[in-house]
Amino acid sequence: MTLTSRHRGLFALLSGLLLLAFLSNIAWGQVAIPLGDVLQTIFGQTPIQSTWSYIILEFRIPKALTAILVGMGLSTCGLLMQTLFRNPLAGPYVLGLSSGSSLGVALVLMGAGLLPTGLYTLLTGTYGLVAASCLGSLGVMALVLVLSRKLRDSSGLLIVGLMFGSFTAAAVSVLTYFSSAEQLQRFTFWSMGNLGNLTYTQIGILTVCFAVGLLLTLQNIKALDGLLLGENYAASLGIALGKSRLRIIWATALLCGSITAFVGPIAFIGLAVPHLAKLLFQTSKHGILLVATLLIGAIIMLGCDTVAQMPGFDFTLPINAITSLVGAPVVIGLIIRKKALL
Amino acid sequence: MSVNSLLRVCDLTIGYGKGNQAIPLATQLHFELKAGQLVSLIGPNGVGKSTLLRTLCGIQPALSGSVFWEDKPLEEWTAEQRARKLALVLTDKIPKSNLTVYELIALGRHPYTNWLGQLAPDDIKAIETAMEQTEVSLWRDRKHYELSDGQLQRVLIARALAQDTPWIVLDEPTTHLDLVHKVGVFQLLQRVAHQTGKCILFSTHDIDLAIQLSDEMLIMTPQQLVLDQPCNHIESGIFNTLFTDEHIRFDAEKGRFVIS
Repeated sequence: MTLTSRHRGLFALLSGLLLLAFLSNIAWGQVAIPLGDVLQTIFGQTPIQSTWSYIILEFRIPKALTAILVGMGLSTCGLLMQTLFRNPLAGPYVLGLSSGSSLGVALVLMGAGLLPTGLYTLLTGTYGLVAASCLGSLGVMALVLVLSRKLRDSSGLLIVGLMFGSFTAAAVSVLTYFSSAEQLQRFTFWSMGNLGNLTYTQIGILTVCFAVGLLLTLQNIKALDGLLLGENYAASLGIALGKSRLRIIWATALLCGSITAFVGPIAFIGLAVPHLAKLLFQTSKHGILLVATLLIGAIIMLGCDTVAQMPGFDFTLPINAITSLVGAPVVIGLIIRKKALL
Repeated sequence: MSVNSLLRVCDLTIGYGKGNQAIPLATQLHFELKAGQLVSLIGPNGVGKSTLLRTLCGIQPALSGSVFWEDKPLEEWTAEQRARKLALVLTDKIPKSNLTVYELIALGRHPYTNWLGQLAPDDIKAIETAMEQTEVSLWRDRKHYELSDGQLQRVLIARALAQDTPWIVLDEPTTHLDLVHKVGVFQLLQRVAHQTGKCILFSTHDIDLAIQLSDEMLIMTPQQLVLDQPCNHIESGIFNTLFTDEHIRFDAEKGRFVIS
């Protein structure tokens, strides 16, 4: 795939922006840290105030890394789903994958209390939560795929996604009656979305899940390009549709599931970012779109998190509020202008 | 059986399964297609033209009997091998995307490119040749959804040509087109079949044009399926059995249908 000079320029610009977003995300917060000290700490030196070093290494860098992984992962998810369903309005949040994950997590956090203590600790540990969340995503993804064959128009699928959301909310509210105050609190905090709670070990697990999801996506670059012509044409080009579809399902479930398990359901990033990439790069080649989507996803997520930290104020906003404020208008705009492309 | 047989059909029954029940549309089909021919498939609505094409292409399984591609049963070809033998032009609507005309035609090179779909010099040559043959080079940078129906049809044919296969199947390529574009597509297909030695099979409802321009016609009625040259079909009087409506009659001298 040959890159045009326009694409090269854009990639350079986005890489620069990503670096800038990363550094400013670390520098800004309730305590503003000068950029020089941020760089010093990153390169292993001690800044003027030792508390800054602690804040940067133990709090802000893990959070920034998480934001990058979340932004990249969810955006990739959205790109995969939009092409697989050939529906420009598809995304992990809108089609209910995040809801599926929530249900998985809710069942574990609030339902596992009925199980013996040993099993409870195992299930509510990191691995248990990630597994439950991925299974939730996987279930919804498979269901949506089955339903998408019956529904031909794109808005029908969105309504199905909405119903998954309502169903989950209802199931969760039923569960709350059977859970303790402590369990309920844990779930409520989780569901508000938070990028800042991850240990380096957890970031490691998230990175592995992300890497596997990305690998599965890379194997499908050609199949995704072929799917732009519809399934019959794709098959006539020698693409093994069944295998590709399965890989895409696993990739989305793994990406959305693992991310949602660690940071809670994050709205609209997955839908909006691929469209920004398509708009900027004016291409449908998935090789280019994937890289663009990864870069833009990371930048937007870091940006949203920087805003959520409310630099200069001593409180932070929930990350989901910011992504929805940015993402919901994008969706409405796409529907009204009817210019959404794959 | 001759050496250059591309497709051979033996005692084929086509149709579809509904629950556990098989509903046959046509049985005991026999015919053989050779290279360098433009073959049209005609028949009234609902007789099973699309089902026949889908069965020949391997999109849908046969109820019984066998389809041979170059003397090898269809089932023994892998998806990748098939993609190098047969290219399709379907009636499926292409979803709106950022694909340009060039990129869309380039997708025809999928069976030959690496895992990223990178185009090698051979691929670029094949694409350029296909664009010249179909005269679409002028629109190469246009988005595919900006084209008219007639233009898009030429681009889809170019994509099939770029796939560089010995045979091409087109499902009703002239529907929705005005007379000028219909004739344009027919002449393009005829030229390609004769110049490149490909076998081109297409279904159509434009019987008058098909009689004038195709080398062989595959005529499908609820009772039978006959493959022959257009002039022989006219002599045999099969066109009068095509439609059950008594007001539509085939005029053998004029070579077209008249309403009485």
